[in-house]
Amino acid sequence: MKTKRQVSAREEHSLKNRLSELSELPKDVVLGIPMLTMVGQMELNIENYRGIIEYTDCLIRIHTKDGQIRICGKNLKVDYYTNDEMKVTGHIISIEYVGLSVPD
Amino acid sequence: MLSRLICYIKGYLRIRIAGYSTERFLNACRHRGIYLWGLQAVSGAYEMNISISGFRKLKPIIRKTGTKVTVLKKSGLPFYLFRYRKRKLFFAGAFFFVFLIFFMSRYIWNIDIAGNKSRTDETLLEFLETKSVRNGMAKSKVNCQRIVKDIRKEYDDIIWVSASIRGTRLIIQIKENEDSPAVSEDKEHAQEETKEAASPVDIVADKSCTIVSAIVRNGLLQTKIGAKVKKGDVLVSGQVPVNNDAGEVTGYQYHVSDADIIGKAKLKYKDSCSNTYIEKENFDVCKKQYSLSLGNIRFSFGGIKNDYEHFTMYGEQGQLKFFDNFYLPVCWWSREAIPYTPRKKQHDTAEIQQILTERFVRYCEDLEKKGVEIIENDVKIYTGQDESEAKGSLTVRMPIGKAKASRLLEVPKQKEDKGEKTGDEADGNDGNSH
Repeated sequence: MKTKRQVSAREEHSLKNRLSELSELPKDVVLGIPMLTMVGQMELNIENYRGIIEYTDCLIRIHTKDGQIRICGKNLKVDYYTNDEMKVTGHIISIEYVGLSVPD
Repeated sequence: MLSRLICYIKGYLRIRIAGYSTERFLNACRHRGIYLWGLQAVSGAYEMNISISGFRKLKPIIRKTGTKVTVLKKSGLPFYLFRYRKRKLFFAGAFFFVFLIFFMSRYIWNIDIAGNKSRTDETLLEFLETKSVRNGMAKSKVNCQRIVKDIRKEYDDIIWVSASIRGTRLIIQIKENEDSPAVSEDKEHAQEETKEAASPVDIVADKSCTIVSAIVRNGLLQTKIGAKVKKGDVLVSGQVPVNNDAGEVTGYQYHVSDADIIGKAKLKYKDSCSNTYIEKENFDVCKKQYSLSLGNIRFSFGGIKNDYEHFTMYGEQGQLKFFDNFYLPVCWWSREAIPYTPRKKQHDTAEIQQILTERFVRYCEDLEKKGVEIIENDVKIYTGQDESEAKGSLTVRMPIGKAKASRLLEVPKQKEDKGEKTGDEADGNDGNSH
């Protein structure tokens, strides 16, 4: 069973998605979805996130609009942490999306 | 790098956050726009850098999240100044330094001359000194336009001058006339004159030669292609006869002759080189002297005085400067005297040949730069007992002619006998042939 809210959210999502495709605007701006930029295995820039849920030197969990992002690695450090952007450095092993709704 | 410098100037703290909901603390900081960097997880706590202004806003966040904050380290300029606030002399020194830099930057401490090939920097500096342009003068007193005019006036072969001030440096750029200066100057001068006074100017041969080609733009050609001319012969006359219907000369039109005349000439070449040379055998000793000068005051350490008959002296000089253009009146010198014994040595034949050939090749290159084309060359090297010689002659095609004021021809006297001779030429050539 899907709740009403989930259904409406997805509809809105798809509508916005279509809109962004039609207008050719970047999706991270229109949809507010997280944008990750990686440099090798040692640098990761994250934009459009809501906050840190957990942070240790081998795991970082980040709260985003649609769910969580888990970053596993070694000696993870946060170079800077601002309202728009954060930068994670260290040896990154995996990036996992948890609890994000999968479109049909 | 720049952001680090800004952080240092503004000052920052390294803090440790411990407690139950430390992540909440981070999110609260982000929410309030407090900039955090260098975040690191250390055994259940977080260490991070925070700006001073950010730290002042932390109190409500700490109360809300129930975390504990400890300051680990204070870095940056504000803390540094606070720590040494009682050292009054230090601050006085710092202010004095700033003042000194400001004060010094109002004077010229270096004159840089570029583009001079035939004149040394020293010659030009000496000339500038006579116009009271020197190191140490106030920047406000420098009149760049005046300097430019003075240099142009003094030196005829300098055709372009630019003077500008950059930092504490007076930069003078010049361009020398690379063509043969005398001829072109004369021509320009002569042309100016004719506009006003209309006195004729001839082109005369500056070398005995055979004429190969002649293109006359202005004037009347007085020679033929293939003719042999001697030094001083008139090649192009600036006086063009005007004939009447009977073919008699009634007068002369005056022109400043202008023509490109190429002649074939022989140049003699002679160069000699001694078979022996002196080699310096250095002693192991070496005398050194170091000097430092502040304005006109000079301090020297050590000395280069010695009793040896022969010695070689090397010198080096430098001036203190910030970056490229901020020169200061502090100079240093180092001089070194190395005594030696002169030993006479003999060149072998191959070496002599190489030396003389190199010199000859350079001579030829110089000629080619002047527009001289070498057709034949029979220069040979003769090796003697004490001295070797490179001798011979070069057959060349070269531009011939130099401007010279005409000797005026008188009309009535020439009328009878000259009218017949020059009548044909004058009809066909009005002095402006192309």
